[in-house]
Amino acid sequence: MLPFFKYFFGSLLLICCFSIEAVETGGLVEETKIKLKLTQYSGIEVQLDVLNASLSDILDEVSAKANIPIHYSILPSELISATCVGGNLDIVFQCLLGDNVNIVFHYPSNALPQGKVANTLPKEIWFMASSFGNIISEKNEQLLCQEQLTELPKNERLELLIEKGMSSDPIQRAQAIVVLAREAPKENEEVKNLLLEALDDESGKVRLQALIAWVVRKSGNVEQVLQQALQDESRGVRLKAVGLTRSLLLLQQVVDNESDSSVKRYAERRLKRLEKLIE
Amino acid sequence: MTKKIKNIMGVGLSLFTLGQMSNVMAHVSFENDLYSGFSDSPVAYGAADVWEVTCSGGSDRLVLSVLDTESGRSKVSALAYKDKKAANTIDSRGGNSTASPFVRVNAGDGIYTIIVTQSLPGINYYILEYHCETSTGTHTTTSQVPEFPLQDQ
Repeated sequence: MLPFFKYFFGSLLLICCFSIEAVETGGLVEETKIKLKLTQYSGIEVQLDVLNASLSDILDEVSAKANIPIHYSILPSELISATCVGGNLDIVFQCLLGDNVNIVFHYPSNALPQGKVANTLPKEIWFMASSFGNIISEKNEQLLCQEQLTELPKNERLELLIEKGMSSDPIQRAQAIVVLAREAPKENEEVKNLLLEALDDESGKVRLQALIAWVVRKSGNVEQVLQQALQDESRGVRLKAVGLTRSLLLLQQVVDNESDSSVKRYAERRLKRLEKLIE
Repeated sequence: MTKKIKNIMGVGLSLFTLGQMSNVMAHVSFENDLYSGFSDSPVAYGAADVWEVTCSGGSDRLVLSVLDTESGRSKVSALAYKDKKAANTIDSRGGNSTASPFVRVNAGDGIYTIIVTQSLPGINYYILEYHCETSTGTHTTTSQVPEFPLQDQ
């Protein structure tokens, strides 16, 4: 058997729990699902898939299956449907509930050093009830869920993505741009304008995705856009700009002026290879 | 100038010494980066670039290798798959001119997906080299040679 499949099947064995039930509501059978997977694979250690489940049920399930005490008092009663994947429970709960819910995680003392995201499970979790407000329903409206998106007709899907591209949450904006870059027709002016604005977004994550989208879609003035990106304050944006440029002149400018050693080395190598190709 | 570069890329000029195999028909990507674990990076862990390559009719397999262009603890690996068949190759020593071993995915003609990943958060750089071939090893046409990854992280 190929190593990949061994790895894949190995990951399946690590599934922590799977529960699915059907609840009858007014003659209609509505499926409820809370599925939590814990794997050892970097970046996708925690995978939570919920369908029509209350937050209290979700927390109880996570608590029971991950063996973590979770403390809460009053929780919103709305049912949640979402698929969230991340390197730890912080990210998954953030995806599920948004940025504004206050959650306290108590990590073991041997977790990663301060300033880094711990990829181990916390020992205990507290949810601050006062921070909930209407966050659940707002988050459900905002959630950029791939499964929901794929069910939508093309036009509605595009509209929703454009809306997400203007969300107040930079993660939502960045995610929407990733999908729009791939799916939106190149001639769509609304998308083009959105990308143009996103190139100057306050978030480096968003500017980075907008840059990739702009260059890959060949949306116009690519060299000018790259030139601006090569001077961006965000290293990630400058790095990506180096990776996207085919211009010897721009690369030479980076080599001459860049202060970050990683970006400079990258530009030097690319310049060298491009020069070799042209010889 | 860009046109000239594309033309040269079209004939698949090899950019690095392969060690294991020498051929003039292989396709070599530009150098690309994987970027994770920083406040402005797309993901906190496990950056992954996704590529698609199309092997023309008569192809028996895709052959690929990856070159990690900078030394460091984080390794770059490339996994290719199609029709439930997959192969993975890792450049265990970055920063030199020796690429990872060539691996084959014997899944006939059509679209192959290649996923390039890093073993640790941070910055990695890589160059992909790949080609399609028949069961006897004769190179076939790689009809879709992507300029950029479909997913770029």
